[in-house]
Amino acid sequence: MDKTAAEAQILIWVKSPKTKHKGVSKIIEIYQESLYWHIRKMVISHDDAKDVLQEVFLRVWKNVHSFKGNSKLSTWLYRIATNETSRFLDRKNRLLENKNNLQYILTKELESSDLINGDKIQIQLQKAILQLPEKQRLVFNMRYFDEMKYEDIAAIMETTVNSSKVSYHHAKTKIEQIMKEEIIL
Amino acid sequence: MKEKIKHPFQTPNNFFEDFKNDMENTLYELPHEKHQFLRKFTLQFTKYAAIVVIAFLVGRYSIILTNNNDESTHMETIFNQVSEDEIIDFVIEDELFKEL
Repeated sequence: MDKTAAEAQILIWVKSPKTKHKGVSKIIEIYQESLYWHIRKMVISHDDAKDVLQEVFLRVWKNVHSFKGNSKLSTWLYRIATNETSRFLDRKNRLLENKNNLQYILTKELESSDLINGDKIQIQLQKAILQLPEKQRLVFNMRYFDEMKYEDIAAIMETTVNSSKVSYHHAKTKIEQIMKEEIIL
Repeated sequence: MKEKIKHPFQTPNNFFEDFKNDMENTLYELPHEKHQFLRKFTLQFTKYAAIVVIAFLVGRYSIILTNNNDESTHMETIFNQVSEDEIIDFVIEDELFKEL
């Protein structure tokens, strides 16, 4: 069964209370990995990503029956994951006195977590991404790592294709600049 | 062609399998929560309904008592408006009338 047919079948299942569990289980099975990585690249910590992912699926459970199909199911799920991630980062940021501390804490997590194991250049790239504004980080991750189409990114971010292209271009330029400075130092 | 830099993040072993099972269990428990909510709601509703019924009965009983009190109060008011002599005159006249 291809993805579109699977989405259509899921939407039939979730509309009926008798088959809702089956439909949501299928959503978890198909999308949990991609949504987890989408969240993880933003929150850095595995435990935080797991918590946010749980919130995402609870939200999906509560609202999936009212999903009207105006967008693809995957777009709707990514949008929920993006919103939950932003909400989580906002909450974390609010607890900090100095607003620059969030970037500092995420960088420390990057350096100290057992579940992060990359070479120097991979860590450098992640540190550079952490210096970007949240929207640019999201767009850069979706385009660079997940190789999403700009149309899909725009639909998830609820913006235009051109705005997504501009965000990615700015992000890429800044990252290249930061990485060059790192190499010189 | 430039080689792409991958992300360095990892997950614990069998994370996705375990997560799916945990999440499904959590979701299966949710309808029970709904039933619990309904049970709680019914209990609260019954409690407040009982309070309303008791309050109504107490109110009704106190109205009956008040009405009885009102009647005796009414008689007292009449007696207060006439002097004792007038009452005695009235009784004597009444007795005389009965004799006739």
